[in-house]
Amino acid sequence: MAYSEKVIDHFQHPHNMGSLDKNDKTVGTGIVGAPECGDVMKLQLKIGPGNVIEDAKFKTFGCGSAIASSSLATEWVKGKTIEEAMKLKNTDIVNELSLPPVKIHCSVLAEDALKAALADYLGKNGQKVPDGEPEKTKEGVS
Amino acid sequence: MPNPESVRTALDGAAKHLCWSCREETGEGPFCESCVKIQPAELMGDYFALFELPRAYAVDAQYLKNKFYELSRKFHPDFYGDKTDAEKTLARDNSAYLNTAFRTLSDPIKRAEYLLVRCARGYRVDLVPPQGLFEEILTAGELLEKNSLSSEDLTTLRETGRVFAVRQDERIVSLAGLFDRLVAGDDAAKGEIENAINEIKYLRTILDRIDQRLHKTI
Repeated sequence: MAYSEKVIDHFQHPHNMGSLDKNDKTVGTGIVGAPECGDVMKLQLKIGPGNVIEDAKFKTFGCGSAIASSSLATEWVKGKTIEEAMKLKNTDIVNELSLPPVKIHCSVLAEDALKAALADYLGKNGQKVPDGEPEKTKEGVS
Repeated sequence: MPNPESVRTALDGAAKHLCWSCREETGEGPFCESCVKIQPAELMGDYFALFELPRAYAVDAQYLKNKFYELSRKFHPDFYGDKTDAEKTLARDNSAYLNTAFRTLSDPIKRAEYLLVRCARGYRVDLVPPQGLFEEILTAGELLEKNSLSSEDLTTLRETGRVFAVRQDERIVSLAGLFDRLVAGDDAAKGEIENAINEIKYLRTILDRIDQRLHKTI
């Protein structure tokens, strides 16, 4: 399959690969998987004052599109507030990376991982997950 | 363990079909009992019925293979060269149906999903993502990303692969008992089955990748 140039770029030079301390109270961790393809994605966010995302890291076991999707998602949310990050949709990733239909589930996985990480942070700090996003960790639609 | 025969009768009911050619009752086999013409294999029931197996997860691989060869010979289009077009078409369709059935029943994941659809009674389950397994997969994945593997890395990778393979086999074995529970009316088994299937899928993917890497390195 032909990957778009942006996917190849993110895949070859992934941004923000790595880990944060998941026991840190200011860090939210989301680990999700898609059984159909066996991909697993971990996304971590470090949240600073004013609910601003100071740092984001990911680790992904999966195809190039899954790695590119998580790389892009971490890149986008850095510097954003939790509320802004909550609005990120998988379709934004699909459009930016020109993902073909068979790879859309990779972007869903990235969105799920992000939401799970935000939910984890909010839960840790006794805050509520904003309306319409009651999910914690879940398995991605594939 | 439920009696296989009683299970099958309870699920299938007794369906009678008329032969497309002579309009007599065809009987249970893939050939009409009156005029001996080939019948659509789908009419024999689902894949389990085609292979004359009870609807249970545990399947004898050797039996499956033998039955597949036996039916393949019966349906093979080469033997229908001098038959009518209708029979040629049926031979072709039956061969395709048989191949799909064999592929489905031979594969531990496909067989589980196929059986689940047939046993489950519209009961929604909440999947529990295997968080512990996810972490182990990510750790193994990091090793796979490395450009070159030290002998220590290789040992770790082999050991990880061995552990994953054992767990995959355990989950596959556990499915037989879970399906027996589901067939016997225990709806709670459905969730456990779906979780087990998912876990097997994750394990299969990481195991394939580990195998590829180990073979490339040798």
